[in-house]
Amino acid sequence: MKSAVIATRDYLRGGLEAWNRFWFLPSDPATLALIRICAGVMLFYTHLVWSLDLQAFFGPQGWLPEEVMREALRGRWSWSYFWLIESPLLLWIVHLAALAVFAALTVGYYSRTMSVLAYGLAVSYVNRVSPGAFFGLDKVNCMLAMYLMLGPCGARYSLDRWLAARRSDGPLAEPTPSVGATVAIRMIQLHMCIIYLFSGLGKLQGWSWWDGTALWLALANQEYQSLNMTWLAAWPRLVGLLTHVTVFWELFYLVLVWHRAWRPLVLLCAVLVHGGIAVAMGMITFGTVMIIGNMAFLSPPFVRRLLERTP
Amino acid sequence: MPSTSKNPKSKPEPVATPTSGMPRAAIRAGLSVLFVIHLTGIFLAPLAASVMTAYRIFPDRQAIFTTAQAESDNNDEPAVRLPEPTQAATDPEASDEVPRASANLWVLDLLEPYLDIAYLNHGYNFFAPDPGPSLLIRYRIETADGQTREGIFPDLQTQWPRLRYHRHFMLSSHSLDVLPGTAPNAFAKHLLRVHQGRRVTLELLRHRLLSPQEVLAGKPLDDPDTYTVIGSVVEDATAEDSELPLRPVVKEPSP
Repeated sequence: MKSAVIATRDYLRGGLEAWNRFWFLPSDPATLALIRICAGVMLFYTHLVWSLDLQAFFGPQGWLPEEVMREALRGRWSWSYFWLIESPLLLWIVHLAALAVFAALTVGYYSRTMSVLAYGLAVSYVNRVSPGAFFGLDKVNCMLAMYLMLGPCGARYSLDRWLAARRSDGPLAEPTPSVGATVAIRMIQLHMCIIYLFSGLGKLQGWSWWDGTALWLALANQEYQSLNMTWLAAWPRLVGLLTHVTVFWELFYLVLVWHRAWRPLVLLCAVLVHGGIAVAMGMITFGTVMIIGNMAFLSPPFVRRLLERTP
Repeated sequence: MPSTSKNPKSKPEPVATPTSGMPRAAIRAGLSVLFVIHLTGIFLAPLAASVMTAYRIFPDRQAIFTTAQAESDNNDEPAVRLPEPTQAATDPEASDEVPRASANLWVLDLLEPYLDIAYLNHGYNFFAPDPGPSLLIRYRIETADGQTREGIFPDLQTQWPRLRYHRHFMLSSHSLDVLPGTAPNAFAKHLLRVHQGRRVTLELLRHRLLSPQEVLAGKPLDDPDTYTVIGSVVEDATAEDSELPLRPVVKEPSP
């Protein structure tokens, strides 16, 4: 009995230590900085495209009139500053300011402040067009913007650091490892696991992901098609294999991605799946932003070797 | 780490966890509580969305209790009968609406304000349950000067870049499911304003998918018989719909 108590106590203590190491061990903000750049570009581009139909989507009377959207969101706590804007001139001023914020986040100028503003702006935009014109890109954009707020996303590869170096008398010290960077990266990692888990589980509610025809149904949809892949009609076994690999990869992502031996393969699958979606199904932005989310699993030393060309 | 004990069979001492740079224990505890709350929320939101997808697929699930009981009273049929599945939502992300007080997930009710404000209250049903046919919107506008303009969206010819096209694609895709009963009329009014029309007829088209056999037989994906009108809306312009006064009809002098 005593040994069971001791074993339980040691187990719990080990679990607590693992929790602390997982969340609170300071880490190099290199990975977070890379995600800041990539997510910043995606946020900027996403909202730049809105410029082409700004009044139609965000004006009080457009595709999604304010009264219709307020009714659709009745009882929810969703918010958007677009509910307060009626003047087309004010709409454009606010929109251009938002683009400036996203650009500043990308280059890392007043990074921490811009990350907070970027998140608030991204949520306002998507809530104005949800339900209606939103899709997965907006969910992941807002997710990344949210977690960028938690850590020093401008500590590396940023205008902030470059300006600090110019102001410094001597060589600028290396960014100190940060608990905020660890928390931000861990949140992105866990959120990606949840996304894939429920994406996979959702597929199990259908029939086509079970019988292997789902990939065909996606590729045979002309409205999605950006690359003609209908030649796969002659390769039903290949279609079935790719369908099942996709759903099993999503379901097991949250287990396998944490293992050093499996991580490269899991991330390679992410690039192939989302790259395929981008190239063949016209969802370049969605495919790209999902790959950006997967970057959270790149270690800081790897990122530094990649970006700084250090051995 | 080798054991320091003189007894060769004793277990090695556990490795000390490096704590340099970690916050104090009280701060770690407080943050951990917040992390758990947040992670619970982002887990329950898509779970609730999946539950509602299941409800949508099996709307007669309550019949398992009533129909089966009545039949088992009368004959030797098994008491359990699975409800018939209906056609799943065809829109790739149509089932992402998280319902109010959904599916006995009472914790979600507590977290809903936070999840709504933070834009986390949704699912991730990407091409789930099944990839389905597309919904398009075709319109025909009659202007005050008697002209007719026709169009369709999404339309790659007029909507570029691809993201812009996809935004319009999502409008048509969500028109029946996420904004039932209101979206088509709202779209019609918007078209009237933009084109300064007098009347607009808007049709919802379902573009069915071809089977591999049909493709191998040479049928194109946009074969005319793959499009089916599943609904239509007619809107006439009112004074409130026009952003600008209608231009007066100018008649060309006869030759």
